Amino acid sequence: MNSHSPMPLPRTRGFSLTELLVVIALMTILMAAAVPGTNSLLENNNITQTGQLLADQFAMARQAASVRNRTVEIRLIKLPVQSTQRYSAVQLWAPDTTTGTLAPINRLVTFPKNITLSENNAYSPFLSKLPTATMSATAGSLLANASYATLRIRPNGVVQPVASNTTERANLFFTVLNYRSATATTLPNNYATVQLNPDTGSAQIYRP
Amino acid sequence: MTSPFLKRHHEQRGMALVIVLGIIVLVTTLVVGFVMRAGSERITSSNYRTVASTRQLADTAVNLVQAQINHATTQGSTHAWASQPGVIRRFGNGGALELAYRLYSAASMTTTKATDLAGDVPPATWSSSPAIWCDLNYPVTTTNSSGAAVFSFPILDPRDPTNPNLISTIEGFSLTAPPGAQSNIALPKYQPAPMPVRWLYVLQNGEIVTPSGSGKVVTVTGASQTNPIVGRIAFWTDDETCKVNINTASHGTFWDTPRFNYADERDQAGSGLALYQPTAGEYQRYPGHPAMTTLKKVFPTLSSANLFKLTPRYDKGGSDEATVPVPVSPAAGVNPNANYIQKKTERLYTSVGELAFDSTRNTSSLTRQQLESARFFLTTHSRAPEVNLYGKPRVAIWPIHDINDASHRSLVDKLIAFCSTAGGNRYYFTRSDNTSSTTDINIGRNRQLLDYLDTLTTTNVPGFTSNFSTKYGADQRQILTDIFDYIRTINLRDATVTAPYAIKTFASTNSGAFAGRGQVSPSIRSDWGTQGQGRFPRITEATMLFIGMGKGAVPAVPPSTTSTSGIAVESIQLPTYTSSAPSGGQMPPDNTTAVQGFFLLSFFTPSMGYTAMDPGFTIKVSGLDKFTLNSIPMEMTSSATIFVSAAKGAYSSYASVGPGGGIIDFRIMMSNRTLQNVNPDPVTNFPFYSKILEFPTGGTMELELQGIPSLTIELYNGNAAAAGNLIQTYHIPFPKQKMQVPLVATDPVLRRFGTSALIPLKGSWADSIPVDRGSCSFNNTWNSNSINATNDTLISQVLNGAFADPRLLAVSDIPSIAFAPHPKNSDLATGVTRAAYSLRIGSGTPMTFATPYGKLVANSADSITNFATSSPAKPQLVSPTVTNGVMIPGGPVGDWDNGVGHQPDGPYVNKADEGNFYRPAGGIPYFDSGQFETRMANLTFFSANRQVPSAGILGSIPTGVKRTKPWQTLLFRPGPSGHPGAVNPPDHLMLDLFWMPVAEPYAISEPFSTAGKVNLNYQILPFTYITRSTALRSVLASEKVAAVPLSAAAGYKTVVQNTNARLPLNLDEANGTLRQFKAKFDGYDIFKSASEICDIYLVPSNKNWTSDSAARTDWYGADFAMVGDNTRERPYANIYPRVTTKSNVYTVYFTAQSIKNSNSDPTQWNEDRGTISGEYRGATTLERYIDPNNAAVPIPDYALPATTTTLETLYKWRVVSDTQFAP
Repeated sequence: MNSHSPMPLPRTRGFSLTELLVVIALMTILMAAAVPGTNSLLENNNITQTGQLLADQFAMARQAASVRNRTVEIRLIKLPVQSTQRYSAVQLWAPDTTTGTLAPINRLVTFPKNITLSENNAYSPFLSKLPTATMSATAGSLLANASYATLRIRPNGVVQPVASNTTERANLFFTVLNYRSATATTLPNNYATVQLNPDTGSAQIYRP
Repeated sequence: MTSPFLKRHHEQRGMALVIVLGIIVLVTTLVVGFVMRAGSERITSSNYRTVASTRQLADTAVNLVQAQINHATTQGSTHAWASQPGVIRRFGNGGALELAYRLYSAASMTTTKATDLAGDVPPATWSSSPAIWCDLNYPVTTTNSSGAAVFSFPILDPRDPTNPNLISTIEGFSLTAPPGAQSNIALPKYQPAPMPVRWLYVLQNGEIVTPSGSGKVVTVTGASQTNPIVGRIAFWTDDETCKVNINTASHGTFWDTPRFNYADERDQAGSGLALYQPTAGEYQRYPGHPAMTTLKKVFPTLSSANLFKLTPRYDKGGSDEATVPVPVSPAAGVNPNANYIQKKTERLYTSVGELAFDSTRNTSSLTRQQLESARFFLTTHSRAPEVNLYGKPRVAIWPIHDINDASHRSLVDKLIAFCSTAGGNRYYFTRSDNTSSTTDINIGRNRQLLDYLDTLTTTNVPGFTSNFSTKYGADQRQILTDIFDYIRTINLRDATVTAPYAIKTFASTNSGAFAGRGQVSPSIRSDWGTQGQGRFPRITEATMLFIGMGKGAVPAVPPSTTSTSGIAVESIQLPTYTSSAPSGGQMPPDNTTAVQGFFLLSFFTPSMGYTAMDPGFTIKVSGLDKFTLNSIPMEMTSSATIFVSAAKGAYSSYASVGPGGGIIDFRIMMSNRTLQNVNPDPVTNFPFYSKILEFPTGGTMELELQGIPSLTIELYNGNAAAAGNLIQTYHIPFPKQKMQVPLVATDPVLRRFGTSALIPLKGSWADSIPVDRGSCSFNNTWNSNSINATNDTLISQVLNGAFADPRLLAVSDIPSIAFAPHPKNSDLATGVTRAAYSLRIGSGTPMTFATPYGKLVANSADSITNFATSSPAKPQLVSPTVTNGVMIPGGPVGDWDNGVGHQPDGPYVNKADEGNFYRPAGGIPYFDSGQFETRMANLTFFSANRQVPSAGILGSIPTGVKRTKPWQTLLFRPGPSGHPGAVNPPDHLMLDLFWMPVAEPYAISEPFSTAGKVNLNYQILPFTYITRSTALRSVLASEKVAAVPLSAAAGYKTVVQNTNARLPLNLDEANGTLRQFKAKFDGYDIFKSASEICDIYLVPSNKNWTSDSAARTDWYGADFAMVGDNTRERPYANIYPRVTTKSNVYTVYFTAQSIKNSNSDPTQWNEDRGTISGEYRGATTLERYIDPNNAAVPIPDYALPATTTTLETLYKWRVVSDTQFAP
């Protein structure tokens, strides 16, 4: 009689319950340790993304003004962020080339979650100087009665309204940060600044 | 029982699913993120594509305009073209319009009928058809830093700088009922100056289609699904020459050579031409210079000081607008005029906006709004071609020495030579020898250029009818020869080089040191049979002078009577008397007078002016031996030669005093000479005298030339009567004439005869005897009493008939009909007069008792300066009591010139004034300089552009020399009716063949073009409701017109007149100078050649001429009677170089839109439904130019008849500036 089989039976691989539990427990501990880090990583990412987004919108506004040969409005719109109205969306508006009435030229672009513009005069000095108005959107939509601040770019790139004194010209910048620091007087460690050149409309991002 | 293997598989498959799901989620996230990002990238790139396509559409508009201009200008040499804002036209032979090319977007880009252009004016309802019409001038509203609305206009901002509710009051600008305008600045769609043109729709394949329809929906034929509408363009082209060029213009103040004795010609502050002359560097007072065009019409509130701060190359100073006089001259040879203007070397402007930049230039506080309002009237790049109507190069009229080195050519000469050279071939005349008739005209290239001009003037003028050879016959070549000689006489004494042209002299030991200086021998071209005017004396009168040498006793007086001098008659030792050279001791019989005759000639040079001319020429008289008195031969020499020149010495008052040329003092033949007719020395002897004959006292004697019909007088160049030097031959008849025996002046008889030396007798009784004033003392102390008209007998033959105009003497053989007896000759027999002559001394003052006769101007008061040099006034048929003034035979009043300063008026050829600012103490230049100016060594007074404004100075060149038609010259002005110059082709078209490059203060002229010219065609098409004549008014602002009336004839040259001789222009459109422009443009016609300015009446400020006939009647009437041809034409000579009818620089204003047609019918465009994805508004300035050094396409020699192409084919284009209108 032969006791050795030519093909050994495959050994069942698997993890025992203990192993699994231990691994899960380890993973839980590690994740718990990592979550705060992830948070800040995510926030970092969001702020960078927002800064880039804002700069992109400015660039697009500038280009649209040049192409259409019309003044383009950049509307910084206040939407509810954690139940407070904060500047957290951008849309570009321009007069229709045939009729002259204002109409949006792109979709509403919202900032990533919880990221807004600083409303402090030291960090977004220009925000207080911009004229504000209320959106006239259909009732019930997201934009109904939302207020916004207007920045205008002319076809030759000049940004309005900017006074001619050098202080005001250098103050054409906005700071992007977490909504919690929106009105804080000290700057958090994590922020991005987008500065606009008042003569050419080109944007620069400062990201420490 | 399940195998564990299978179980494992299931688990593994499940795992795979999870992993795959995870990967799918990951990939989806990535894709979504990528797509989101791509979305904005797509928008960006789509925008970029729109930008590119809109720019391309804009370029299409510019290319269209370029193509139109190319086509209009390159049709060959039988076609002429002219441009204006919006349209360029082509003309064929006969002057008819061939094609008008629209330079704005319209339904059709060309038309053959000029009146069709009237239909392009936009309708008042244009704004309701936005799919058809596009307003190029639509303003953009922006807000400034204080929040106020600011309007920016791309083309024309018509608002007043100080009050935006009003329209600008810049002179020459007006808006007349602009269609569809909105002039209330408070209302929306504010647009006071609409400039709508039609849209042209562009399809995908590049086709450009005119839409049809109205309102907001139009049909674009040819569009389809595969070839949709992609864009539309609208454009209009402005002509840059219709604007004032801020680089070349400044603020001009009038100057011209003074010609009348009026206060504003002399020394009146603010205008005195003689005393307040421009200095070096004061281009704003050089006649004809672009700096005379004024910027003040565009900036009326700017002061002169501030205006000159703006100009880059001109500065205030010098005479400072005729307020700073020429200083009194120090010693001769020293330049008194040290207050010249320093050269300014600021950078030229490249755009009008630059006016606002440099604060040191602009302390004139020019406001932004002033600049905005002025932008439509200013340019920095305006150039006009210097190409004639045949499309070939123009010939420069500045003479340049043949030897090309620093001692013969000045810097300005070299620059002018450079501007007039193309492809290595020169298009200017050179000269090398003023003392030769053949050297200069036979220089190879000079001959070629004359042949070139000959070919052009025998070809029908493109754009006009006929040609000059048909019009003038043999005179066509004569005129060209005269023009060549005229050019030779420009700038004779240029002290900026060490070897100027006309200083070669014939100095010899006894003749004056300057003989021949300033003189130019007439050019003789033997194959054409023509002779130029040169600057050379011509003979105008031949006179026989008879003086009483002494007389025999009258028996009634007892011999012992004491004479009044207290000497007893019989105690006088008498000289013996032999035939012509008494040596003493002879006395005529009782009641007999001893008479001796002398032959005199009088000379005249038509080329009168500064610089001085010292004559130096040879004459040979033959046939005098045939003269008899009462049939007794006078035994004069049969043939003798003398070299006529100024006497030896620093200067001689027997040469021309003051300016050279004109009437030459007749004493020049006799000064410093002694009588000798046997082997006479041409320099020191006078051989033309007779022997002494005796006639009954108080009787008559008859002069006759026996056996020959006339005397032969040969005029030679130089100091020898060599065959090669012969200029011309005169045949002067002397018909038989009885005259009174001359008287002997003092009483009683003094029998004293001239000795061989003809000096007062010395060492004998003669010392204490007073000299008989009637005797001819040929010595240096000749004075104005040397001809005693009470006692001496003179008989003359003077120029007659057509030849009374001595400009007709430029021929090689003057027939005997040219001379006729002096009108007073017939009175000699009866004794009514005994002296028939018109000899003059100095430069025009007649000899005491000389008979002036004939008048230049009919019915004018007698004035010693207002008479023709000879011959009765009306050459053909004259009754001695009629004084009709000189006339063109069968036609109107003839052409004569005003003399410089005090000089008499006469038949001159308007020599270019080389200047005079010699100011003696207590006097003023031009009037009181005497002869001293001429001797100021080493001084050049006028630079090139001041001497020659343009070819307009050729206006006194006679046109009837060969056909013997007097008193007619080139007509460069509107002429009296019947003037031969107006026959087709009009004389002014000759101006088109020549040019004067502007070389100072910088190279304003380049080869083939000059900057700063203003277009005569200021009408703006299709916007005829916008008038912009500002640039033309800027050109005319500094010109003045002379008005010297008939009533001033007695004293206009001699007594200081306290009114104004010259008046500025009336520029009104209804009754002034611009009336004819408006009439022309109202008929949609334009000027074809800049020389057509000569058809425009320049209305003085005190006149209103509402029609051409009223203008002609008044201008040739009593109020302007004493104004000569040259003074009438001078303003045209000054204006012509600053105007043009062609432009090389154009600005295209355009609006281009990229559109997306979403209509279901691809040929329909609905303004409301379609999308305009991009728009581009801007302006491009283009310049057409010729590269003179293009090695790939060398410029041929157009002077050769074999060259049939034109310069027009060599033009290339460059983009001077390209700006976007995006405020």
